[in-house]
Amino acid sequence: MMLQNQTALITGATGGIGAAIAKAFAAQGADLILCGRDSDALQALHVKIISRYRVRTFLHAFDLSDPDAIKTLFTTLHQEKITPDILINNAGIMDGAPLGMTTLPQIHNSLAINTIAPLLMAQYASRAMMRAKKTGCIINISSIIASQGFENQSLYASSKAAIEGMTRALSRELAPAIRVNAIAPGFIATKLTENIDSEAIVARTALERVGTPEDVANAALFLASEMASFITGEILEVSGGLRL
Amino acid sequence: MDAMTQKLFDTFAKALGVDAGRITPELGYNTIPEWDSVAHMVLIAQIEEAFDVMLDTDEIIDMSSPAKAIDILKAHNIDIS
Repeated sequence: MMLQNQTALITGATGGIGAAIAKAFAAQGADLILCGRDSDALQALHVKIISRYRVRTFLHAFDLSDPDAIKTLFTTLHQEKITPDILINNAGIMDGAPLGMTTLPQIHNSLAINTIAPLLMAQYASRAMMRAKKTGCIINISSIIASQGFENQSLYASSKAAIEGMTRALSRELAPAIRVNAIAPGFIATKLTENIDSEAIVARTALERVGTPEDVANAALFLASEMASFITGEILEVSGGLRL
Repeated sequence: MDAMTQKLFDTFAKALGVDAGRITPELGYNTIPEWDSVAHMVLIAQIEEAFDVMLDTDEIIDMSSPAKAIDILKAHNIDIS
């Protein structure tokens, strides 16, 4: 098993990509700290996972846009003596709108969830890893839109480009104990992308299909594993060769 | 020096990789090469581990000397003087 005796904290765990990562990691022996806003959905995911894999799960429902709630999560983990070895900053929102129709509350909310929360999560998680004298790994889920752009997604692109900058900076600052990488998915069939015309996207994709959450989970598994022990500061595109 | 203060000073010495004799209440952050920003985060991790506390970011920034560390630990109900 690739992740035996490892504990992975996954934000947005009940979404398409988050749940796929949770299942892939559990299949490789990782215990899981599953985070999301919907406690019922977390519970349902927990049942699915423990019915199939012999791993421990810790559930924590909270709103990532609330910095105090992030602190509460790590205080609780500290009290429970649970230390993440792997942090997957997966949760994100895509609030697309033309630039002229993007409101200030939308800007604040997207940056709070897509940018500020991952930074705070990395801050707390890296301290927990260092406190336990552990090595660790942080994987940020970015997007191909960060590097290529897309109409009506200036806010999302900004928030994800920030994540990529953060990834590169933290890979230097937290080395050698903690590796920090990012995954930039292309078009992945999830609720986040259900309103996008997939046929047009496939036409621009070298591998001629849309991605699946499992495609991203496989990349996360690789980056979290010992196979990637000499890789840090990288942005791994998982897009099938999509050019927007 | 009480046992908890000794424990704190030992934690400083170990985290910063300096002789225990160099740790004084007034020793300041960034006044010796061994206590830079990278070492500060190692120090914070070891203090949190040694005293079983979780510090706020403001406290981490504020922890500019062993004397300051004592004040901060007192605020976390650690019996230290």
